[in-house]
Amino acid sequence: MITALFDSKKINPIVSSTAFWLISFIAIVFGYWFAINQINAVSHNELASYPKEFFMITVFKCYLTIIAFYGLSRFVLQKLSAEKLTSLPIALSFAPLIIVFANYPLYWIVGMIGILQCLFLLAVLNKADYNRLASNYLNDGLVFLSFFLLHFIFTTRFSPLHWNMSILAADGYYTDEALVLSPMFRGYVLAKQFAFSFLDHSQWAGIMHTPFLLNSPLMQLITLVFDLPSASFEAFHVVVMTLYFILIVIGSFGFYLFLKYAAKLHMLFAVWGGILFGFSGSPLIDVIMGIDNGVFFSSYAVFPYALLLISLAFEKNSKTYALWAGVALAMQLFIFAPHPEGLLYSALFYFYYALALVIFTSQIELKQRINLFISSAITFVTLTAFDVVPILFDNLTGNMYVVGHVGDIKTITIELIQPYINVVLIALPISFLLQILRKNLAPVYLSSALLAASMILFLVAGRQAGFMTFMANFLHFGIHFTYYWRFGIYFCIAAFTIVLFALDAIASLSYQWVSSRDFRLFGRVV
Amino acid sequence: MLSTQTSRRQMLWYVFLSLVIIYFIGSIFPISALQSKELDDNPGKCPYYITLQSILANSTLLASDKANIKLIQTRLVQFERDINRSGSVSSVISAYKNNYYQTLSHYGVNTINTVSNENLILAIARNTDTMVDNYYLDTNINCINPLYTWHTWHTIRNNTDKNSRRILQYNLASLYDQIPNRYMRIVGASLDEFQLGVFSGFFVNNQTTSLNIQLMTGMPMLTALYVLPGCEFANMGTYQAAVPWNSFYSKYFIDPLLRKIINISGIDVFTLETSDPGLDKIPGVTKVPSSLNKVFVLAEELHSYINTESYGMAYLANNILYVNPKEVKQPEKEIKHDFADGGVDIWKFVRATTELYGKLNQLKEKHDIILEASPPVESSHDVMVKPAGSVTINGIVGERAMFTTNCLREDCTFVFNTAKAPGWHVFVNGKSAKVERANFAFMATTVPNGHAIVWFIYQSWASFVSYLLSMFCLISVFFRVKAVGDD
Repeated sequence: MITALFDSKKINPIVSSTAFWLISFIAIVFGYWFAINQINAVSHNELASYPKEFFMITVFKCYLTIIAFYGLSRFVLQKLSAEKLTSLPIALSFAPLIIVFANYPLYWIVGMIGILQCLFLLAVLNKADYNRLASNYLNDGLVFLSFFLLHFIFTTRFSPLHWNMSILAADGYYTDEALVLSPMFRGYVLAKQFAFSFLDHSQWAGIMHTPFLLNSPLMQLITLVFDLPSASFEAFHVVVMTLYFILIVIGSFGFYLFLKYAAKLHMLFAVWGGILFGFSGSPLIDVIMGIDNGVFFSSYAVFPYALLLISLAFEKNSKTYALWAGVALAMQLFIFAPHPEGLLYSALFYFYYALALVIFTSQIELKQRINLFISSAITFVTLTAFDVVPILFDNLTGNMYVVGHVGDIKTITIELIQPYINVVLIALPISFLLQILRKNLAPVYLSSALLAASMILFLVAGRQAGFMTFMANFLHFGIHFTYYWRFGIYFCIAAFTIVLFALDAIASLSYQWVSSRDFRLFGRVV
Repeated sequence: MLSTQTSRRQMLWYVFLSLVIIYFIGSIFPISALQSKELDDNPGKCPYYITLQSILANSTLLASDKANIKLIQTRLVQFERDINRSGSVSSVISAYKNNYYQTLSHYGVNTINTVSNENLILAIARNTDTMVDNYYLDTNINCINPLYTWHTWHTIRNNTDKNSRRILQYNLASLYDQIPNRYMRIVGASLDEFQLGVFSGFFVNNQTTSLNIQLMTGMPMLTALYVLPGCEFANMGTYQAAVPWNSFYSKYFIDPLLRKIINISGIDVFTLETSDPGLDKIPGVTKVPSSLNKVFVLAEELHSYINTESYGMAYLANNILYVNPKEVKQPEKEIKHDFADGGVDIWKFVRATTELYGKLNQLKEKHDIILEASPPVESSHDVMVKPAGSVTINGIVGERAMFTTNCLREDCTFVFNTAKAPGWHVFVNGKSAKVERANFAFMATTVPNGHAIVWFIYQSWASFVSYLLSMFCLISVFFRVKAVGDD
């Protein structure tokens, strides 16, 4: 599936000029409509007094956003149609955006775009294509469906089956959910006023770019498109729960893909890994929802995708994969911008993993490995710039300060992650031995093992362990590395990978006497 | 068919994998985080209820959002359906029914379903909101969610009262449903264990504010001078740096200097406990006639007050005290240094703020300001006889704010009581103007005599350039795939 999506014979950044001009025209017209509405939300009929340059900036931002959506559609549709669907019809599918001037609701318009794209796609597909799509995507599609159903039925917290429940009904004194969600609610309200803004007047007179203020451009887009009433907390709940639900399903699926396509595990173990990712309790999901109330959710959900793509980049020596790995990691800011630590940890451990790949991937030249690493890093840094740079800028120029909080340095306990440490300590040597027996010291395995081993050093070397001691005692700087559970999750991901590697290795040694038919039987039993 | 030997091995294989799975299930499950606590504490699965009063508190402030009117109408339509349900004609319901239709008849309508006039829908909703809320929160009629109870900090801390969780905080917005306009700055914090504003946070009114240490962020001058002035700057809990806290008592509104600072910063509305002994001694306030439905049990009863001495969100300056910017440079440096350094030398910080408070204390009348600029040639202390004029707030939405000023003097100083930060641009009658700093933290500009249209727009170059960078990067990655049919 992944290979089918990303592999391309030749890279060609030039788009059809007709399609380009068409989509540009549509985007500018829509941008004009959006900019007018943005001004009207502040005050009606004041277009004449509004500074032209800022009007143009809004139109331009809108233009870029639509071009990005066009680019994404083009990428997906051309891959699905084996490049039979050309750029022109894809650009044409965005034409309904123009009818906003006829006061058609945005959800109709977006629906029409979707329908048009489906129709265009169906028009170019033939039987051979369906066979190709089935062979490429059917298994993974079924796995995705199973994760979806699993969460739909068992995840009472935000499954659509339970959307009538309040998100505020969780444990604890601080209404963390409210704390987390209130900035998002500002975004929800602002979206209805055509303002996709980070600036929050509620924080005592307009603090901009606060690092803690979560925002979700995706949530704002959903709110605007579906014209949800800004005073409806119930509607807001549904949007937020939808986001959470999407994140947990795609997170599970992402880990499955990583295990299957990057770690090359048997599909059964990959599925089991996906289930573990979504349904493990302490500390994985407990941290995500129980302690931090979703504030780190998007970082975790995109992390396996980043690992998958960077692993494939090294395996295939493909710069495209490396770039997409950076995109995958940065997507957290577009879906549901996390707590700053979420970005920090995911980036840190991702690059740690990627660095390990640079070291362990001997099949390609060192220069090319470094090139892949840098490509991925640059993409990530550039894509996160829109969120990170203004914060850094305001801080460095002294116009904003950020108070770091430090706590629990001396009270680190490991009970939450003890099961995983046991698992790794047992599984690591066995797994390592088996990997040697199989003569299959895969870079992915080694990188995960290194990640897990390092995390153990940080976590279990004492109450004031490794990196944290260094940070606290020498740099007098905590930035929450003291909150071990927040980065421990990456250890869990590594631990899962190693354990599943071990299981897969044991199973593969037995492949000669367990037929694939029996495996399928086992799958059915499970 | 499998051989006997293979079957045995297969069996061993199944046993092994089952053990692994049991191990994982035993050590990793239960998946409590994925389960809603509300299911445990709300065994009757009573739905949560957002009061119509709370929705009205927010929706009327956003007139541009037509979906809100639809929402309100839908709520009333649902109410009509519920009270007209067959088989539910108890005397309790009849009373609600009679009252409701009696109210409707005052407006000459029989059902809300047929009303299309938005103002009429709002008027009917305003007159029936208490009735509708009482109906849905009436234990004799409806299933009531047991989580409508606020509990104290200590109970939760000690984990002694697990069953009692928290009020559904969205309904706290109804504490502010009688506030005259959306541009009043509300300080929701009343107690350190009961924080409105951000912690409840769900007010559509985008001027609602709170002093929230959790946000860990702020603008040095604004925070130092206007967030709990002169006090409460201390290490809080596990927070390393000196940060403002967020509890409010009557003393802050009685003390002349503190009150002056609160007024200058434009705190229009604040909420206090009714048990606060100093309530009667607070000058210049009027009580907001809003209250929460009694079903929501709070630790303390609360009331909101309108601060009649507040400078407000935007105004034309009355008397201007000019201060040489050089005089502010040093204390500002100390304040910024303190914030950046985590409160290493608190006394330097105290000295710096005290010096600036001394200057602010020289302001005598409402809307007097300090401007960091050289005084005009004609007068050093520009005491004006006639009133400066008036300001109409057309709208403040995110990064854009528009005002109409009516200056009665030759020219006036217009103050937008929002933090002056780099990135704000001001346009007066379509022309770019200079953003100055009033009262050490807020934005000011000069407007001409007569009517003028003023736009404030926030767009820092850092955010714009970084946005472009990110978008171009995203687009270039998306287009880095071969496209068929390209020229």
